[in-house]
Amino acid sequence: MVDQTTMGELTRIAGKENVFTTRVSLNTYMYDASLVYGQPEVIVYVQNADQIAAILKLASAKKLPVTPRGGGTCLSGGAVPQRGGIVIVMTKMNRILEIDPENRVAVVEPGVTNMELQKAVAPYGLVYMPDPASQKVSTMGGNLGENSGGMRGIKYGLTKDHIIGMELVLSNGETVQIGGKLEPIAPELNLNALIIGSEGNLGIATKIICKLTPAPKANRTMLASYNTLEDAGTSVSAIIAHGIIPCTLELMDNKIINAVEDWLHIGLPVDAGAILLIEVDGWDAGLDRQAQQIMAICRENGATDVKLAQNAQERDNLWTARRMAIGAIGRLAPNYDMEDATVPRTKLPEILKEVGRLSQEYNVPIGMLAHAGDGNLHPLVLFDERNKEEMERVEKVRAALFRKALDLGGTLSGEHGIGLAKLDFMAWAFNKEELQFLRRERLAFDPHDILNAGKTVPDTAA
Amino acid sequence: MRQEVIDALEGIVGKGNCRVDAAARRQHGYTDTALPEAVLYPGDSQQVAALMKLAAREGIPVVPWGAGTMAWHGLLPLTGGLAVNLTRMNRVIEYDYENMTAYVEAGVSLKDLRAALKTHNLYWPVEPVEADTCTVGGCIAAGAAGPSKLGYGDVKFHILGLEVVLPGGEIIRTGGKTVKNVQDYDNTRFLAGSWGALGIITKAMLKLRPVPEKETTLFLPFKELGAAIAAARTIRNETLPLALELLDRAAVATMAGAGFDAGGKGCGILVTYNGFSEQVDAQVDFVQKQFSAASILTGEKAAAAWQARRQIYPAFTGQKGAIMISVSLPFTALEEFLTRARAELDQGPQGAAVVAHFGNAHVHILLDEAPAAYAGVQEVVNRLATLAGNLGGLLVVDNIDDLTLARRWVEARGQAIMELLRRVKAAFDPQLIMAPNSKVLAYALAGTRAAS
Repeated sequence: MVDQTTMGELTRIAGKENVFTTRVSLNTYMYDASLVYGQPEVIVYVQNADQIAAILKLASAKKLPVTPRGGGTCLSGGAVPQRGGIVIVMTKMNRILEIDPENRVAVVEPGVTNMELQKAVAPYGLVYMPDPASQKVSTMGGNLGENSGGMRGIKYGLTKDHIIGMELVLSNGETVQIGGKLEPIAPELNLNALIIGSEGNLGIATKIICKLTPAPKANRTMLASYNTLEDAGTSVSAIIAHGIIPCTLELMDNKIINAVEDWLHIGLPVDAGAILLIEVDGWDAGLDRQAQQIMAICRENGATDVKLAQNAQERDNLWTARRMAIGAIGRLAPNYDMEDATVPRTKLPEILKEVGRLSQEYNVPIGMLAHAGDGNLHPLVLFDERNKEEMERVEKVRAALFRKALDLGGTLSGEHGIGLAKLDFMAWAFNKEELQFLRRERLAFDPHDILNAGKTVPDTAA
Repeated sequence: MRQEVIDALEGIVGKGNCRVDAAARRQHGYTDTALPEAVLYPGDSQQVAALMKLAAREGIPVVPWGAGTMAWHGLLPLTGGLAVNLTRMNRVIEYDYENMTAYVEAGVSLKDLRAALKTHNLYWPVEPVEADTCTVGGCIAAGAAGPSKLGYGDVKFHILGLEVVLPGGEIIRTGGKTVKNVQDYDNTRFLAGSWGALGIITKAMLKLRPVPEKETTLFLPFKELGAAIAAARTIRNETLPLALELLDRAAVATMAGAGFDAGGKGCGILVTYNGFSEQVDAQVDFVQKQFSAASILTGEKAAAAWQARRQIYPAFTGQKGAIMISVSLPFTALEEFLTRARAELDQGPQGAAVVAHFGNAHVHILLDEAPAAYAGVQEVVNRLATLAGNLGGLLVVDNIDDLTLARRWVEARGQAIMELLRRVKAAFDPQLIMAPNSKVLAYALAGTRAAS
């Protein structure tokens, strides 16, 4: 419980103008992009690391829950203050501190959005590779916390492959430097690995050191249409089996195609059961042959039509279609739930089929997007949250989907995290000893169990 | 160690797999006197778990072993305790070539792994010094890498999940089989480079790559170091090599004795490209147009050159041993560091060879002095360390037992760091029995039971 003394302390630390307790403010910070809610007691906009350290010292001493928050686009409840307490909003810490082109590193504050960083490094011919669909809004601190993926993940990896260091405030308010700009050579443990993707459980990053990559010199973008999702899924494995690793291999089903086309009118094949958006990049030399090979493989595996984008406009249209897909789905139902269960690539056709079956069995419409090259599904389950009976069916679909993904050797979450939304399923993915170990590990960083507590790892594990 | 403990251990791993003879102990030793009391060869994870439970109960230190190739690099001498040799656990459990993964036991050798993967034209891009005998588990624990670290990163980028036996005897799984996976904290990568300090890695899910269509290695000879540095800088900035090594005159000469004679007396650059043919041709063409002396190493010569590069350290040291220094720098500081360090070394009495993983801005300096005689060269090492530090870099000496420079580096991370490391260690290993001699944690545990 945040009492008056604490409130006074917070005001002293962050300034009156940065502390909010009105009902409207508190309600605004109840949610993220998932379906879980929880009301905080106070919102604090921080401006520097010292303020964060002071707040955490205070919260630690008083055992108050603290929820760090960036853009609030988390899809698993990572930014939801389900235990009340303090929400620390990072978006005012939004400076790009350093871009060092020849050393190919950038240092940013956590409130910088992914897109702001992309734009800042582009003039140097560099790219920060992770590109979550939320990149216009989602912050680098949030990306770090969730180990965000994106469309280019299959070739270029995830956030954990591109963040090499950070300044981290621990839950007791102490600050440590993790990793750094240099190639690591000292005999020491790689704490970056634990922090990235820890969903804000293990500390709050106040500076982030990012690895930059020279922009690929050229690309070829293709669109393949199929009668069925399974055919598209089979093509995905076939392409990679030929030794070609595209930078993008995105799948959309008929529902999504139509939702996007109705909105954007960019000429998508509305009769197709599924499409694959495929891009290869790198040196210009050889890309034509790779593209031809891919198109041939698609045709061999049942593609009814395969097109190569002929110019930048055509390419942009295809990308717009993919990036707008989730927004377009918003036109179909009041709510959606987007899961990210992930399976080994060759199991894609099987799980795609299962999703179709579940949709029928439970009479719940599901649109299917997937970072197909990674076996990373994004089924969008459509419903109206106010309809309780429908919600029960939605929950059953979710559970069945997770069960199937795990049975196929996959994971509950490829990139959105466990948070609150998948916490109940952790016992399916891990045994008791594993959960107890993860809990011990969490408490090693946060002994008072205040920092985004009650998420990721069930409390009951200990 | 009490005989009843030995008997109990033998009961776990079976007769013949618990050895206390001098030969086995020496094989898993650090010096002539720092030897384990017993060497265990478990056959499966359950046996590892059982012996861990026993060791934890008895408070006996446990150090996991693979081929032992890198032990000198990451472990301090330790007298007593158990060496747990995993080489009997050497099965490839599942080769899922369609998903480009292999699930293997930790003791499988890289040679056996390569042979198993060859059937479907995939490989695991980790090529440490001893590319045949090293075990997969050893490579992971040691955070190993080969020359392709520039293009592909070190071993942590090539594993998706692990099975680990914790000192409490729990068998836990980390990660999984998919590249995208955020259902647990990333203990998979955290354990890479943990040098046995946290648990025993018993199985690993490896992420494999397709063997590229084409691979080409070029050697570029230079008379002067300065010209070689400038060329390497251009190559790193303008092309995306898989591997890029800068070799000074002494290094090139050493390689001549290790199977690759570059033909000249100067320094050189070794650079490799791989991928689709047209792309490799374009990259090679760029280099040849820029640097007319660049020559493509054909046939066996490319492999010989890289093998010689990997063997530089043993070839340079001979019987006496040599001091191995590692320096990490901002890329842009390489030129100044290399130039001034070489000049500094030329002043001194010891022979020295300098090689750089140029693209990673990671420099190795081999100093022709026995590691035991480190005190005699400490002054020059300190000057090089200051030079590196002033340029924003870090210098550590890899093969001595003095962790002063490393400790200083870690302490500068913040007052709270040592306490945090101790808590993390305890989350894995509350009894503090795992590899107390592991350099990655020894300085943080000083004063605790594990270090004593």
